[in-house]
Amino acid sequence: MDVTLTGPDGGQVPLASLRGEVVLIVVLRHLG
Amino acid sequence: MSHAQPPVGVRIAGVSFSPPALLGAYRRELSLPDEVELYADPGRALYRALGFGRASVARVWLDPRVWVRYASLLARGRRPRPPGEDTLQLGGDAVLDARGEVRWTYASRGPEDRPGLAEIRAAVARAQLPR
Repeated sequence: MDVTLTGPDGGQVPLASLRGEVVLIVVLRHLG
Repeated sequence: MSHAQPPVGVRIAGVSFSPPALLGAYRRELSLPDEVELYADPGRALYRALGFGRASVARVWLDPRVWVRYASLLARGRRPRPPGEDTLQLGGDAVLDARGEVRWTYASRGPEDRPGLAEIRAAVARAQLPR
């Protein structure tokens, strides 16, 4: 998946960068 | 997100479409450990990629299952605030294997609909096996 996320510091984090181990992604609803 | 002990050997990432500035407050509110990574996806690209859509107003606000869930949260001391964002967007869960391939998804059908921990553990265990 060609998806880029944003970290808490505003930095861009490609989803592909999480590769290397199994990842459980919990996709949340609204926070605010 | 649950505080239950996470499966061994798995990276956990929480993703929300809320602005990145809200992630820190969310972590503090739920006392999430540092091991749980939090990311924002304001454009909801991940939601679309995983097929996590939006629910109807009736499903989100009028369904008794939702109110039962909120009552449970209130009983445990949670105090929901009036929402300021899209309440109809649903979430879900996904497990990616070490190669980044999606091995399992669970698309929530309503705000209260979450997979059980056993189901998540089983999905993680399968993803840890070579394909």
